[in-house]
Amino acid sequence: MYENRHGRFTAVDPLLASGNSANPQTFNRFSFVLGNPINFADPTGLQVGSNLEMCTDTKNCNAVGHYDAATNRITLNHDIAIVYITTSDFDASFLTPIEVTPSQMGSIMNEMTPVEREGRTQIQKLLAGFPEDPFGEAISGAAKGPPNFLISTWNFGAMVSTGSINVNSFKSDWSNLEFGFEYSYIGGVEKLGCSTQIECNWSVASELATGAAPAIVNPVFASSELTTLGDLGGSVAKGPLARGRASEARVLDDLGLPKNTQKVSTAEGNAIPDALTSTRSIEIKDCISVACTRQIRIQTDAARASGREPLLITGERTHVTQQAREAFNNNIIRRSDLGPQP
Amino acid sequence: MIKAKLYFDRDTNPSVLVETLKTLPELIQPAYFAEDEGKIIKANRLDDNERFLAFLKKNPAGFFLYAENRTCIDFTATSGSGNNYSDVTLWLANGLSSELAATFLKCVAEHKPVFGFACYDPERVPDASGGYVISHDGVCSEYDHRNTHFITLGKNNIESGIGRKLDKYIPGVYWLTLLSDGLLAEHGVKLTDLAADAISTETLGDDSLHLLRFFENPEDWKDNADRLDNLCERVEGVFSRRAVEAAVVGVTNFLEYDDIIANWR
Repeated sequence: MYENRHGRFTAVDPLLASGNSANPQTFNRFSFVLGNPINFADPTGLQVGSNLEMCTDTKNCNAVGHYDAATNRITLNHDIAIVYITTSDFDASFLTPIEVTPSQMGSIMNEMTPVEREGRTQIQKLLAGFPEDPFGEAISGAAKGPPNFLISTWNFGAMVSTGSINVNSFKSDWSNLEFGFEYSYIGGVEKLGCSTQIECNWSVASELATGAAPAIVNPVFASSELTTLGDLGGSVAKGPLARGRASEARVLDDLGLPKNTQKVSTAEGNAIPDALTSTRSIEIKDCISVACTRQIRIQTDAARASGREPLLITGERTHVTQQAREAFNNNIIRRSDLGPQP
Repeated sequence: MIKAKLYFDRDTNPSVLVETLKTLPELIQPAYFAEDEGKIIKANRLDDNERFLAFLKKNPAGFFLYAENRTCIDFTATSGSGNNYSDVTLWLANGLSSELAATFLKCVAEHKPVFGFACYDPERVPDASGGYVISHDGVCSEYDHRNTHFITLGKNNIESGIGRKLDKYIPGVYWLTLLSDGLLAEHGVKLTDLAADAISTETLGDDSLHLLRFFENPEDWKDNADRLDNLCERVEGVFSRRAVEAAVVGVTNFLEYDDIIANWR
């Protein structure tokens, strides 16, 4: 029996074989499609079906909400939803019209302090378009209104090509809400953003699962990453974005480089490298692995377009695929203080 | 794993190249296109021309093609000044005959590649502690040996791509090396100077392309490394890593290193 208000089953999954040690989420035998109805299907009600092409069918995903073709909007079925929308697997034409409706965003901070009001303004700015300096526009605010808002990662890939807006952390009483903007591809491809977001959402999911049990829609990730996910639970309080920034600041300081705020552009999109020298365009990725995504292409192509060599700074234990190395022209710095630790 | 790479004038139309690549042997014949590495969506079939052309329009900076066995072909169209070439790289799936790399290099001769090569370039595996840091002595890839500089400065284990710019030099010689008359002339290199060290030379296309094989099996690159390094050093116009090693002696910080290495990209 599936309870759509809770986004989960009310009785255990009778199919024992649906559990998979490589994917701890599968042992939660009440959950529906690993809590990820956007990207997975379960036509029999017994076992999640991994189906990349489901991503193309986001419009019809009733578990989270429904898509109204007339208004070209998503209306959520739940008070709270964490919605990840990736760009690479479905029609770009779907992305541009997505709007956050007043009912979705309006109650984020309905008892606003001036700081909160400013925060909301900034969030709206972020949602309205691509800010000049998204890294500099990260917001820390507080939200104590009723839990009736959309926490979303809107990946604007087709529109601005370079980023996503996401909630980086918040506590169960909705205090310490931190919105941020970072370069990321959800889907486990560019792992800096992915691991940050997974870390966040795992914790959020755990918290919410004990409360109102809203629909939690996690990003697409491979089962191997899910195993890692379990280890990361609870670490959200440290602030993943804060960790990323601290890493970035430490590395730049060590290399004697200032933080860059200058945007570089290519035909395919924009990028703001973490640092620029006269000859290098530098990306710092504190993550498990780096693969060659469209986002990496944009970053490295933008570097070359500005007459610089792309350079990746990452961890000693970070796996960098051959294609990603190639995208960075084999320019990599590996450091023990980034990436997975022993 | 074998890597084969081809450089074309940046104006070369990728969709035309793709049409030619569709004629490759079935084992490496691309069947799918993708914008993210490894993310193959079944609907993105290369034989759906309309869909592919729409995709191409959205991804001018580059994309991936995949054969059914996940052999990967990576298109990169770089923009900006100083980047006059686009490149196409084939990574042969493990277990396939390395001779398929030669087939790949020959297949596109009609499109007049400027330069190309194929060499042993395996996926790097972590050491016992899970780390991927290596020094030059530990490289397993012929390409890394010839075109990557390794140095450790403080906490930073640095790898830098070197000798890659075709407008400065011929990047090197490898197991298979494809040279165009145009590139040889641009750098004042005589084909005979390089062919003398090759075990075979094959002329392709309109006779302006030359495929040199420097040793029999790509996995044997270490046995031939000194010989080919000496050749690179000896022939002016061909990049030699030895010049870089001499230039960075005594460097103590990244910015200083970066300034020097910028001369050898």
